[in-house]
Amino acid sequence: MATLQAILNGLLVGGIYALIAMGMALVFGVMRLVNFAHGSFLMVGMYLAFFGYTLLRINPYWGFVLVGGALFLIGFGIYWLFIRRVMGQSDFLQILLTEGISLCLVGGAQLLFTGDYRSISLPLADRTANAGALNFNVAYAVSFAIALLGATCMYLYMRYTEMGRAIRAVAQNQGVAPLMGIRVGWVSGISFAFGVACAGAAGALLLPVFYVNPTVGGPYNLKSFVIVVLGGMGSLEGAALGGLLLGVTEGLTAYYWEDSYTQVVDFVVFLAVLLLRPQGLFGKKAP
Amino acid sequence: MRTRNLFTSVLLVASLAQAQSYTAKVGVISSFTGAEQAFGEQHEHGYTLALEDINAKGGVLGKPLEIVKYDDQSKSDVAVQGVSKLVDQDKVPVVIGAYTSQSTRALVPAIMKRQIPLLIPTAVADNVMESKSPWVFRVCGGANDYAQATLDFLKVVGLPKSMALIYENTNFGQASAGAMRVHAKEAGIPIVADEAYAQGAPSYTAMLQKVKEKSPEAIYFASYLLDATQLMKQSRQVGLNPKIYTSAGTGFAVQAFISPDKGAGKDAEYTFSAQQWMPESKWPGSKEFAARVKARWGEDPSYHAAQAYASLVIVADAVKRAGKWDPQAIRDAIAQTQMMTIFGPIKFVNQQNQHPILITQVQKGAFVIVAPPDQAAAKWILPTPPWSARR
Amino acid sequence: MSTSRWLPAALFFAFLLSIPLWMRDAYLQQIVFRVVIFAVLGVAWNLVGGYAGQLSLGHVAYFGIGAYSVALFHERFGWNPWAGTLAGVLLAAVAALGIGSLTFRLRGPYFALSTLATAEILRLLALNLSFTHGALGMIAPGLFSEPNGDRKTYLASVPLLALAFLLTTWTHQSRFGYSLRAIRENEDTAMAVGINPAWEKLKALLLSAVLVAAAGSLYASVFQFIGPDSVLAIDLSVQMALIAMLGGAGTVWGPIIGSVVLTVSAEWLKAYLERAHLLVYGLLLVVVVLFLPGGVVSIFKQRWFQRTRPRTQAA
Repeated sequence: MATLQAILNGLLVGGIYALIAMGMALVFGVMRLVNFAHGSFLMVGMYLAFFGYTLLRINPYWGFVLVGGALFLIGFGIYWLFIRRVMGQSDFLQILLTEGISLCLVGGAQLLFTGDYRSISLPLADRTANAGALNFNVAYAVSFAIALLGATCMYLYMRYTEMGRAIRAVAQNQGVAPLMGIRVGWVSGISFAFGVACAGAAGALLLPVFYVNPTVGGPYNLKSFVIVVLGGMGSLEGAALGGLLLGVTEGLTAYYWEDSYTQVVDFVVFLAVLLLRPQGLFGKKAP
Repeated sequence: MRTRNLFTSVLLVASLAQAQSYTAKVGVISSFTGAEQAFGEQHEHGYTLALEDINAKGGVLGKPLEIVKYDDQSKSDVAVQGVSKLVDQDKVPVVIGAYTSQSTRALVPAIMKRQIPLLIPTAVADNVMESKSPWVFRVCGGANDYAQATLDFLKVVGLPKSMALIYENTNFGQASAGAMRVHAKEAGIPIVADEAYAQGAPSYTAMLQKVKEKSPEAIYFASYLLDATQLMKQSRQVGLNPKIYTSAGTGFAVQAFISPDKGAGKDAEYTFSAQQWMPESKWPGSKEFAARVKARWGEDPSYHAAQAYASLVIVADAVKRAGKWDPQAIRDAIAQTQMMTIFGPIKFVNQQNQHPILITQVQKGAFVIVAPPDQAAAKWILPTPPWSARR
Repeated sequence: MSTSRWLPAALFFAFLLSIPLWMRDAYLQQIVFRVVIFAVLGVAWNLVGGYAGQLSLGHVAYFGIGAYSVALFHERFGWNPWAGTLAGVLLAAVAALGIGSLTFRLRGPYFALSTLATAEILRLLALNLSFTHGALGMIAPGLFSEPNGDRKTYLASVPLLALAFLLTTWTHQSRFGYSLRAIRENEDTAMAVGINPAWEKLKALLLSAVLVAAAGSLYASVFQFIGPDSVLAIDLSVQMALIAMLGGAGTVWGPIIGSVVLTVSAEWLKAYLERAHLLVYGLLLVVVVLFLPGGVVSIFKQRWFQRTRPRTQAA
């Protein structure tokens, strides 16, 4: 029973992880770019949600759509101004660029908002519900549901819309896609923006059960790497499942071993996957 | 060979030739920016008010007192650089600092090398005093004192048959847990759960579930504010019901912890905490100090502000007794300090101030002092009602 | 080497050695020490990152090994810090072999992430295991006793930088360097011309790790308090990369220039713009990547180039 409880908790947290990681998976799948600034965009989303709530009384549980939209625009802007210039160059430079952007975002947040932690208190976030002998936090359940919904929407979008098809085409073969009349630059920009929007929206959902400060994105950044590799770089379904899996693994580790080891386990899983099954659960080709 | 001797002698002369005169200022290191900024601000409030009060009474040695501040940005390696800046460059003969146990621990070797007295206002981990250096003094009580005071309180209300330790994986957390392990063993209380957690995670439910299954009668927490809030909220979610929640102060001891929007709100009710100081403490000037901070900065002072205030007052007094701005003289004067401050009586034994630790309980949304008897304002409420019976 | 080659270097190192003679301010002295240590780190990273083109974001692991070795061997076995440093260097070499053989199998971002993961695992182990005292940290004994222990340690760090510099110069001109550059340009093609990338990369990492560990030991000796967050933090790895990139990756002087610029500006920033230093680091990185991927050194190379080549006449 206790194991089931640990698994349930892990799944609920994993839902948010999944949403965050899917954004990174999308960006990597389409642009072959590992976005080291992903966690920082999560942080930006959290701050937007925070001010949205404290200044405008916008509840993050529907405000996340607005936050996602805002971050979509910001992401696209950053792509157009900076990322575009290193596409096609060495991944060395790409990684350093995104790391630089990350530092700018964190540094900017520190300057504007100071290192202080901020949180909001929603009545929903404190409510506990029971499912038989199992208990869970309602807020987490809501985030999980929203993340699931978001993931489904993204999947459907990729499958059935024109742009979605274009994105998948570029992800499959960047060289041939232009021959099909696809404007790769534009598609890359949209994908990057989408990826960043995911991070931001997830941040908005995370805010009620957590707190925000400029460096809050760091650990989620690392977790996203782990999840994306676990699921298979570029695979959205992989990232979704990977997120859930990681959440559960962490929960079981905290229960059976000790909470302070959950981070180590994250990385050990990461290395194990990279070395034993580099394409992850759903990835197409090994790196 | 000759060149080498020449080189060494030049080096020696160059270093000896360094003028060893100190300025008439006190160096202060704290976390004025960075993750611990909120507490650095509390320090700031304390130092500011103390400075005004000291100078209103004529300053020190006939001149207004001045302090030189250094911000460690909540990082331990920056704190060490601070020592160099304050002592090597600004030539202060005495330093007060830092905020976190981590930063404080880091600057002890640097201070010892330079043979300058250091007064520690806030760091709770006992390893900051581990060097036993005659230059390092601590004003606040340490992790060991917290554990001792908690256990003394438990002896009065009835020793629990089992205890769980839940603490963050930092200097402060590990030190607090270590101290309680020792004291609990002495008192014959078995530790049934010993959980170190990585701070800053959104969910501790798995860990709390694990602790719940061991059915501890008492829990001893060592956490900063954010995790303290999460832990109490999630304890409710999980249905963790020990007879008594105790804690090593810090996160559990600050005003924000009981506030509904920044802290655990109602979930903080009934928790006990080791406290260094409260505005309501029966030490002279305590209440007035709190009122002044509230009036000026719009927030209640935490104990950190009182510690900072008292520290500067102690240093000013020591310099007066020393008669000069000289590190050795100031050090000796600090060691002989015997005075009453808003932070209680000050007396150093082996450089550690014998600070009486208060025990408070959150009752009806406010901290109430329940121990020691000469400071108690109300009786404790025990056993803690289970979560299902609350609301 | 011709005079014009080694004279600037000799002058530079002589200048560094002379500093304790005329720099009275111990605070400034400490800053210079940090410039030298970070220069060593940057130069060492450059071997793997600049010459071989492998973006390692886990180099701090070796720094931590060097620092903790001094503290641990002293605490457990009573070894003096020199022996501890030697032990640290050997352990780092072993770790490099292990980490390298695991991570060099991967390419591009996978490699970078895997090095990040290994360094983080080391940090978390140091944080959680009791024999490293976890977050309580450890005290490392000084290499030299007082008085002036710090100055003497600084004097010991200069030969370390000189060693790193010589190693880089040799690498730059040797077949080894040629192999590394070939691997950087295109690993598969390099294999086709008979270079063994796995072995060459490992050699570079070994040299790199040893230098970084030695720097870690010296650092521990001066700052004396070490903990997982001060000697095993990700930030240090990123800083090493930034220093090399800023100065000029794949060049001999680049990382040294990078360290001077970065450490000095960090001090200046601290004094005037306390809260903005991360932002400035970020901006620097972005600017360097977008506009100056060759680093500061490339500015000089360009100008030198223009000055010594006759202008062609406009038609």
